[in-house]
Amino acid sequence: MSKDGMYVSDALNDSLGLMAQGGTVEECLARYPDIADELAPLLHLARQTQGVAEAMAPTPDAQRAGLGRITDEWNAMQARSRRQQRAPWRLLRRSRVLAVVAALVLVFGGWTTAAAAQDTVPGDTLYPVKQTQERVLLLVVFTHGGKADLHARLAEARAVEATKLAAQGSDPVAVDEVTDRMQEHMNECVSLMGGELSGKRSSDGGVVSVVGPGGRQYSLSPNTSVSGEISIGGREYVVSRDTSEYRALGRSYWAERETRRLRPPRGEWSDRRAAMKEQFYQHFLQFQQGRGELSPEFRSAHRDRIEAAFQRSERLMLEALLMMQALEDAHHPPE
Amino acid sequence: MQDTEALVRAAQEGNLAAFGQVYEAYYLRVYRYAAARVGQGAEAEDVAQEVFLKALNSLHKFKFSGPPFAAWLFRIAHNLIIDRARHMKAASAATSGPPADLDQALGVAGDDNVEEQALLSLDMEALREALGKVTKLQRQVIELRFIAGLSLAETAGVMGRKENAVKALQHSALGALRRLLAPMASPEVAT
Repeated sequence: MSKDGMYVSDALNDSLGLMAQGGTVEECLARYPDIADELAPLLHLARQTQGVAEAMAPTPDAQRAGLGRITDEWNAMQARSRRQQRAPWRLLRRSRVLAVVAALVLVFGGWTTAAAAQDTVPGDTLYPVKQTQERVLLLVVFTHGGKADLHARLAEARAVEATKLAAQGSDPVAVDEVTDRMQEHMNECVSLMGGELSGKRSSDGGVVSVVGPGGRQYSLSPNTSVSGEISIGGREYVVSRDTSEYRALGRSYWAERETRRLRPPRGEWSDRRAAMKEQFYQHFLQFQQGRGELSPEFRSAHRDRIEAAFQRSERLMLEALLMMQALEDAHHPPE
Repeated sequence: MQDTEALVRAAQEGNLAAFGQVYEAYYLRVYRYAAARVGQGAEAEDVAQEVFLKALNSLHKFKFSGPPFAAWLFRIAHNLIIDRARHMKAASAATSGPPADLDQALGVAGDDNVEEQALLSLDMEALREALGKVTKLQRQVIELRFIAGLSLAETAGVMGRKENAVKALQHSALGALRRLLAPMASPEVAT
């Protein structure tokens, strides 16, 4: 290309850049009056081509439905990655560990002891038996979804332990530790399902929010407003938590809004997400009920610290619930 | 919206929400790029979807030291569209049916606004016809720069050329399109 040709190419590109920032064709031509006649039709054509492109749009649901396939693929990739980590030698090592642990449980504990350990809390004599059982379960559950289910159940177990410890007037450090482990299980569960919990403390008056696939934010506000729809058992809910009431009773109030069926869940992951959402909701209700039934010992000098641990637990449950909804919406946009 | 680099880094570290934001940021542009080749509607949506699934699977291979992310993404799109065209051509030859022309699908959309769609189809048809007559490189630069809306650097990254070469190419491409469209286009284009 000649020097003049390169000059026009540069001017054209410069003008296109200006137009991309909102400049008009006339403003561009004013910059290059010497070649305005040559530039003008090219710039008009570029703008017209962009106009044709801007009129091209996918069907409304296509973009959001695509997020669902991406979430599925993400889950599948994670599952593949975990399978690869279980190379034969790892399985062998794992099976040896499993055999040893199972033998220890049987020899030193036995099934009766194991069952008795179920209701224990940290500090109890049989609590290590319960921990061993849980480790065994985590070793023997190999599927991606099965592990997610198990971590959800273990998170619930930790939440129950936290309320028991508080009811016994235990050291708040013990409650904090149990809450930390609950958080680990909850994080692992949601991660296996394709989401992520922030675990951050709210700086906005107790608002709980998560960012789902596509950057869509879901939040539960303590002031009766809700962005993002919560669907549990085929019904939609709006959370209403009056701040003063909440402080007095430690309760939240869930009000049923108009019932509107969303698209029926499809496939294993969809069913699992719906089940998880229900599970987290039930955890949340049970946890709150547990808080309401705390013994007088709870009202001790450590109350504030234990209360903080409880709020963290509640927050995690609500975040997990919202994340399940976010993942579900990414797959099946509401009609 | 965070910048693309931060989102891609977060996605590489296992953050699905970050990849979702990348998807939201680029989906429409990838769709338009595909629609210019395979026509509007379900097929372009399938292509766009496939592009992001491939990108997700290869995300760990993307290096920030190379071309920009958009260039990497649209290279995937370009390769995918070329592959589909080859398969369609092969399938068409095997069935001895009418020749498969990717561009035949252009203008097919599920929009209810018939009048608007007719106007759009007219413009699309003229553009498609003209794009079919310019060189492959000229067509590619038009599609990347003006239909997908990529920057000069991103377009250069997809095409594997220097930015100055892409500047010259977009100049020649617009010139060629203008000559082809002038007899049928609006007065401002024919100026």
